[in-house]
Amino acid sequence: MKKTVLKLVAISLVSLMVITGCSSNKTETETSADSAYKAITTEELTGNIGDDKWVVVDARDNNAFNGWALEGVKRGGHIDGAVDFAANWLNVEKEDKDAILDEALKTKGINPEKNVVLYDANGIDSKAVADYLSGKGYENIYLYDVNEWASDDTKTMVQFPGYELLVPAGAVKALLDGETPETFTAGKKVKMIEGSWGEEKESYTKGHIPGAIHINTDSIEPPPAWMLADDATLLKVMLDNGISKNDTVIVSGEAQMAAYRVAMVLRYAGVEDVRVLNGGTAAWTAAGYELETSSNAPVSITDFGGEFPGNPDMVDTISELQEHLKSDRFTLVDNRTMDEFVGKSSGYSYHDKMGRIPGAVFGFAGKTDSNSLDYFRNIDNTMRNADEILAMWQNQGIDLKNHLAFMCGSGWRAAEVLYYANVAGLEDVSLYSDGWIGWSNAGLPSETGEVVK
Amino acid sequence: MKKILYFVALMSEISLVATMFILESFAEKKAGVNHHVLARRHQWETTVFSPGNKDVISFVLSFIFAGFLALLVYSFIKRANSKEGLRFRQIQLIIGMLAAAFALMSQHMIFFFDMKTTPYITFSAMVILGIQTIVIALSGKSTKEGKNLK
Repeated sequence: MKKTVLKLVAISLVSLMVITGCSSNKTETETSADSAYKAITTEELTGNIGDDKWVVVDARDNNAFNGWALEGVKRGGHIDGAVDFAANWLNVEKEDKDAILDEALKTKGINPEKNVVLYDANGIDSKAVADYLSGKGYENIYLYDVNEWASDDTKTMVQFPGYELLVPAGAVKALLDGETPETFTAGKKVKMIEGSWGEEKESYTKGHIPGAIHINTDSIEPPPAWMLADDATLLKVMLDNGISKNDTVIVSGEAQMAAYRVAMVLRYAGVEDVRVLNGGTAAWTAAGYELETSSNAPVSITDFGGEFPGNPDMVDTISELQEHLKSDRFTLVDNRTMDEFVGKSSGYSYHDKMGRIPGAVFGFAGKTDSNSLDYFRNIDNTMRNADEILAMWQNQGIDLKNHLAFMCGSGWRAAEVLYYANVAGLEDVSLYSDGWIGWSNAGLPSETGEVVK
Repeated sequence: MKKILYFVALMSEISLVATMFILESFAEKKAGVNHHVLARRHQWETTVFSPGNKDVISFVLSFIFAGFLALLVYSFIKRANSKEGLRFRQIQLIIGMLAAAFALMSQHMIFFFDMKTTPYITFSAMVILGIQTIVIALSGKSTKEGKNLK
């Protein structure tokens, strides 16, 4: 009897130990139950932010980092001092993917010598990035649930000032489902536009956001020069496509630059609320949503509903640019490749003149050709970290307090860059739309060669 | 050796014609090709193919066409010993005339104006015309040598 009782007590004790051992209550530096990575408390994280031996990494979707409150977090944005390395970047199929990701790690100061804190809101993203880093030899990896931080109002969550200009696929889906995501107005219909070059059969019918109408970029910048059309033509485009001043519009497209170009023109026209799908239609399909292939006909209107153009200062003409360049409170930011900037290449097979506008400052674009914007996009074509963009410009000696006018060859790259500048919080900006092609075709002065500092 | 040259000439001309079809098709579908083709078209229409130059080009093409036609008629009228050689020359003359005619039509017919690659078509036709001129000259020399040996 005694032996039986003793056995029962022993079994109970062992069972109790096993149960408490498997408990989900984490204690300090306890290894996560389902991984080899360490957990970190909010207090520890708070104490280590700013320490050079630590780097805090947001593993969530780019839109969450920018400011959107996704996946149920109480407040949107990122932990103050955190950098971004989204888990979905690991799933992108792209040439030189490994090199691109390695460069991102380097740029963001994520290296094996540091203690790396990865955070997310779903328990999946940070684990994915942790596995990736672990495979690269990282050993000091900590995982953190950002819900704890976001729900504590004493902790700072940083939202980029213009984050709402770039819309996540989930928010677009919510709108299509009749919901009202954050930053949108309840009851107000949002118009979807697919902006791309060519007739519908070129890109639009291959797939677009459901309900979107098509705007051919040739209608806003007609051949053979592809310079911005005159105001009368642009007004007709607005009316023919049923776009009025008071509309909220989301522009998307397979080729993002085209979407940004159309979006810029809508803002110039005076449409009050013009946003772009962050990452283009690829972001839509990556989120698991279906594209629509059927055509949606626009319903034309007769009254734009306001002065046209409503924002003339958004776009600089050549003559306006010539005046602005005389001011030391104005900076012309040249968003072309370095080869285009120094005059080794025009960037366009149909344009022979090479060089730059005197006074322009190199503001980066892509690394390869006039269709690329590597310095401004993540591997999934979402917007690069706004802090990194601003730092890049400041390293070029660009005074961010100046009025910045963005230019490129003919206004596409610069349109996208201008949007990113707005997201970053720069409001005193404009687009020199005609770009290098317009300037050089007008026979105006130019310069070539490296810039002597 | 001449047969090799003739073969190369034929392949070059076929490639040029095929390229024009492909270029026209791509100019409808690809923004980059479209921009390049239309921009160059605009540039050439204000320079090489300006209204004044077009008249000169048309005159020269018409002259060449007429010259080839005259040679063709002459080849039918005059009997030659080597019918094989003559037939080849006649074919080359007809191709030359077609090239000249295409070059002329591309500058004057609405059908061609509606195409994006019109100046490219004109250039290609003129290149083919140039190749044909060389081929015809060589074949004319062969025919004379053939006669002299007999």
